[in-house]
Amino acid sequence: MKERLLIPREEIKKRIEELGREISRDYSEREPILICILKGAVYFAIDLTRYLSIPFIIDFMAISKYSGSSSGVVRITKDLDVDIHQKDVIVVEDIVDTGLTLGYLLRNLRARNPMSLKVCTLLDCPSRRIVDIPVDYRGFEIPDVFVVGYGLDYKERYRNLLDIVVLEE
Amino acid sequence: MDIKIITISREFGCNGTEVAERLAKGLKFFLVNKKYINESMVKHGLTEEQLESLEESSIQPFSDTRKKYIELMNRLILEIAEEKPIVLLGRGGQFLFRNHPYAFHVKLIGSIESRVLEVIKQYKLDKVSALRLISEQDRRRDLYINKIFGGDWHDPSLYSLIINMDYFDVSGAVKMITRAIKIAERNSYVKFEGVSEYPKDATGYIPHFAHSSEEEFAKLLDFYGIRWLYEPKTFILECDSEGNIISAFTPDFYLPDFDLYIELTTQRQRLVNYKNRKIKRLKELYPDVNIKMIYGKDYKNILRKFGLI
Repeated sequence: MKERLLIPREEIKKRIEELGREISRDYSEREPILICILKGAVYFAIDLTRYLSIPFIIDFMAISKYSGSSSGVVRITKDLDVDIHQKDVIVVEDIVDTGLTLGYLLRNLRARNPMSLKVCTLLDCPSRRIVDIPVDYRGFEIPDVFVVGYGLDYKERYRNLLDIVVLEE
Repeated sequence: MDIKIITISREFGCNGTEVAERLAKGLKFFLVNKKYINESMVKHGLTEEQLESLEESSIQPFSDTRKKYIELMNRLILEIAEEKPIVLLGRGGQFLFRNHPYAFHVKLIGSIESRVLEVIKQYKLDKVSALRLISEQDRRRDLYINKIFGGDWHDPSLYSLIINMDYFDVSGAVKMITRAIKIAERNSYVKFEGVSEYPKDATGYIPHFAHSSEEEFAKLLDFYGIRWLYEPKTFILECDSEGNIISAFTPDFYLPDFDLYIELTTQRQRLVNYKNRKIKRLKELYPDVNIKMIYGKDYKNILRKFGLI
């Protein structure tokens, strides 16, 4: 498959800085819990925290991925270590596309009664959306292309690319 | 396999109400009739006047408000059927639970002579008024089913059992239905064994998908706990001057929790263009209906994301 540059590293860095400032401003005097969704959002979440000027707690969560098997249902494979009851929570995602994964996560997290629950995603691909999900902080809106790099993978490859690239056949 | 949903469709003047009531009582099933549905709708904020307007008969397309009421009604019926065994009287139950593995569909018919006699007796009418009432009710039911489900309720293949009430009284019909259900439960057991691998819709029904991509998509929705129905509704796009349907469109999926219809299009470009035109028309005629088209490229990227291709 061919790779085509979509978002260069400089633009990613600049935008993450902006998001960090925006979140710091919105959450001034508060201490949000950032929930990084494994594995794709790790790179983004860590870089985002470097630009936060407010205190925060970071935690990680992982859910099983659809594998084409007919009988399974989604389940949490790594749950939070912290209690989010009556806390401000920001879910940090690498990409929001169909909204299926995030929809499940938000349903699950809402049941734990956080004070507030917001979504911060590096990439948003609204044209692929199946279920509506509110996105509060968005790095880049992208067209319906298959992207990898900066945490996003294709069969576990390409995560460590510094730029975000389109994989084309 | 136990039958959990019994739908009773009836021609006017065939004692359908009484059959449904006695059947529900005998089997200890919950009776879902007009009274129950209206009470539920009132709980959801509808007024008595709005409910009455639902009963109006017209060849004109339904207003958006009326369509919303009907969608709410269908949702309420699906919800109660998930909770407990029901006998559903009318309301297009034979379409709402079509091919549902745990549903049994009964239709009561009768000759015009016997129906007229029954209506005269029940409503204290003269012969002309009774005939007019039957004709009006038959027409109303034809239109209702056609507009909501886009089907013909006279199609015998919709039913598990059709009873000609010229030959049976209410008690006889109830006995026959009860017996027929017991036989069907025994016979259907093998038929539905071992089908747990297949995706089930929001009512527990396993549909027959027209395309493998639709089945895959249903599995994906199941995985993430998103409730769905497969091809539950046909939208009429064009009728001729006599009200016959010329053009209609049936979206692949409906997601009740998001009030969203989804059409998957993984076919050739020519068919995509054809579908696009139909969806454009549907949006013009039904502006309140949320519908989303998932094109072949979108779908491929979704599958690629999950590492399936």
